[in-house]
Amino acid sequence: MRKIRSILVSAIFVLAACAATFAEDISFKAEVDSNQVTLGNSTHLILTVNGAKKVDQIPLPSIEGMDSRYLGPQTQVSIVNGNYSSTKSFIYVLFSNKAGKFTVPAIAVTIDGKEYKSDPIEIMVEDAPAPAPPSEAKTSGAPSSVSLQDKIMLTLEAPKSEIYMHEQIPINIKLYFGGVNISDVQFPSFDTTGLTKTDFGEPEQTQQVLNGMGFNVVHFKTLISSTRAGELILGPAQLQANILYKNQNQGGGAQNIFGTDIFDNFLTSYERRPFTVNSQQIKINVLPLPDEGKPGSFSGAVGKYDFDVTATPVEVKVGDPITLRMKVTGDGDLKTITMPVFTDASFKTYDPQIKDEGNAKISEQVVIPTSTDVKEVPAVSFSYFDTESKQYKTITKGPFAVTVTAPNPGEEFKAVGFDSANPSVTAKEEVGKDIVFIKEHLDDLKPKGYPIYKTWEFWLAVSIYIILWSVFFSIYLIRKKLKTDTRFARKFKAPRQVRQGLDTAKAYMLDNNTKEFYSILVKTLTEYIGNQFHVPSGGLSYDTVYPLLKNKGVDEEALESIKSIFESADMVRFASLRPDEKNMKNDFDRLKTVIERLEKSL
Amino acid sequence: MKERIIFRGWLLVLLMLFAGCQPSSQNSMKLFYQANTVYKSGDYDGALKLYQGIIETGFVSAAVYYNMGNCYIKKNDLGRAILWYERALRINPRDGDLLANWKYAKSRMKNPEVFEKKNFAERLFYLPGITDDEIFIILCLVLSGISALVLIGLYLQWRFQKTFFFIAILSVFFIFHVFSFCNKLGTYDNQAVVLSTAEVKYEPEENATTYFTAYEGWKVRFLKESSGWVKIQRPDGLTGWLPRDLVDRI
Repeated sequence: MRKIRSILVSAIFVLAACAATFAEDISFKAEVDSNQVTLGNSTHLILTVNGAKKVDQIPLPSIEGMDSRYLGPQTQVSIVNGNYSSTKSFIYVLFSNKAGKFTVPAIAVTIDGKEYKSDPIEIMVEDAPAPAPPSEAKTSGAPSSVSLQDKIMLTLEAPKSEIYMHEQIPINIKLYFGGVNISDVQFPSFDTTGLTKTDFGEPEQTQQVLNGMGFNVVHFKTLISSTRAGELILGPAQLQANILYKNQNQGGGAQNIFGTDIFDNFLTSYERRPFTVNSQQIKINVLPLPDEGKPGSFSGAVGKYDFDVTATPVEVKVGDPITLRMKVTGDGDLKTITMPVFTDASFKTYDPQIKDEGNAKISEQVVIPTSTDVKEVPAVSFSYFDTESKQYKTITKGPFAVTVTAPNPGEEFKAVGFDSANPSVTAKEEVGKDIVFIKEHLDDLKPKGYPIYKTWEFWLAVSIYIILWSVFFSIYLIRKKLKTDTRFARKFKAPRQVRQGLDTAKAYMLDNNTKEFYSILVKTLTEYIGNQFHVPSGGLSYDTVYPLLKNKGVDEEALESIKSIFESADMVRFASLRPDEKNMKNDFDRLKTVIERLEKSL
Repeated sequence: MKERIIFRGWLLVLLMLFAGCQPSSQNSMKLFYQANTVYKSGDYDGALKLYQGIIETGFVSAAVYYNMGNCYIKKNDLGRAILWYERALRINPRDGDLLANWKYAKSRMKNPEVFEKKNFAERLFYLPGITDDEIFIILCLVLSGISALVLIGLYLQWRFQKTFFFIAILSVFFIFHVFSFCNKLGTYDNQAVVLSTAEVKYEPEENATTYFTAYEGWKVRFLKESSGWVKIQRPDGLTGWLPRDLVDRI
């Protein structure tokens, strides 16, 4: 029974599937969540293909006034009354960037070789109401802005267009945004080449009406000063943040039913899209500091400053310290100014301790009068360049009257470096701590990744050493073998002995000394053959050398020459014949040729 | 005739080498002096760009690396300052100014590494203030000495035991230093500096659990790199992942 039931169920499914294949009818359409969108909000565009088995992602053409992002596909399959249907949707989110009427163009898609087209869709993007105070909005006139760029702006402001080198000026970067939601606002940045810049302080937020639109304004403030004279191009400043696009469809149902925004706030979802906004550039003319009227005590302070000096205590004994407290306040770059340092021959002075306190720079220097003749601490001057009056100014404070009395017996002043015979260090010297200045000469430039073992000099030295070592080692081996191996020694010496023999024979030939000539000729030949075959050379004759040479494959012509030399020598020695000079020359040449041939054969 | 052709060939090669090297070298010198002028005007970013330009021409110099370290000190970027001083020390480890600035930068580290360990060979044959090239030359000289001693012993017919004694001592010295040198070169490529203080993670993911904190200027081992993250190892053996832009090889 169960088996019959399962067969029936299977049959129903097979029939349904067959029916489905006939029931499929392909269609394609495009639709949006909402045709009316507020600027800064988003809506969904859904491209639906009905009835197709396999469809790839449908690309979206560019739509004027809107950006798009693909969210993903969605597939639905249903079998109703035996009718099988499959639907695949491709969902895009459209972000409105501009107010106006825009059209999503007809989108074409080819499925199974047939082209399907959707209808164009019109979307009305309405300008968002700006959060402006009603009174101000009315007076400023109707808003004319229709694009997102007009709703987010960045401006760069400097108080002057002409400054002096090292003059510190405030820079205000303002981010305007109205009618859009933004988040994750970063600090702005701009190119700081040729200038110094302080860190941005905590940004302030205000509201402002521009062209009838209310804007939130975020102020980023910093201070800059130029380190170079000439034209300074400041900016463009760049700022990054995310725009929050409200999804137009979300929460819409709740609003329709209840007519309230309460649920809208709960159900609304936001899409984050990063954006970058750039400011305009500012041209600032940076003037060099004039040389005319520059006081000697000027040390780089530019701006408007005040200078104050106090000396305490004013009644001291010789050797007691007086503290000179100098304070510079002003609107310039306090970090770059150099504080005046007091020096005077009547005082022992120490290095000042310098610190920054808010917008003041304070220097405290200990000075010690060295005699009761001191009646005052001399005046101290501070010079700066006043950018308002465009001239150098010097503020002088002092002199400060002091009363210096003699120390009590046993409390005599013993300052280091003075005329004490036995100087004793009373205070530990505090030395500064900072980096050593940059290298001003480039004398160690070499190609990157070039170790010594890649240089030709190294390999030349190594090669020379290896050659020398090999030569000396070879000499050692040869000398050792000459001592221990007689056969080798005789063979090694043979060519040299031949050369000597031939030289002697030549000398006798020139003297026409026939007897000695042939004696040396035969001796050279027999010694050479004896050395080569390691046999005693004394008793060698043609009859004894013939089988030796024949066995080594010496050719007949050479053997004949050897025979001829032996015969000539025998004729001279035993028959007392005196061959003429020509015959001697022939025999000499014959021996030379024979030895050359034997050198090749043996 | 043949000699003349060979001579002209060599002359051509030398001229080509001269023409190839000289302009880049002169250009680097020009960039160096420009960079120094910009540095003196207080524009440290501008100076860094120019110094970087010298390195991009394919040359290295301890002076350039040293000046770059100074720029980063002035910019308060301690991690990068230490990185460039370390790079300079590899070229010129005996420069007094460089050592002073390197120590100064190290003294400003908020959390100096206190657990630096050296292995046995490094501790036994640690030669401070000697460059790799110099170690290489010393080793070559020792090897030459050993081979020369062998030759002298053969010529002067030294007794085997006497020769062997000297050669054995030199050979032990040589072998240990070769071992130490190879070990040093092996770890060289993996040495890196942490550029700014960051959390070291168990996995190369932003949301992974933090293992420990790596402070700027720390010298660590660069183990491997994976999709924008680097696996580092502290000298005491702890390993973890740091974003790639926060650590750089020396």
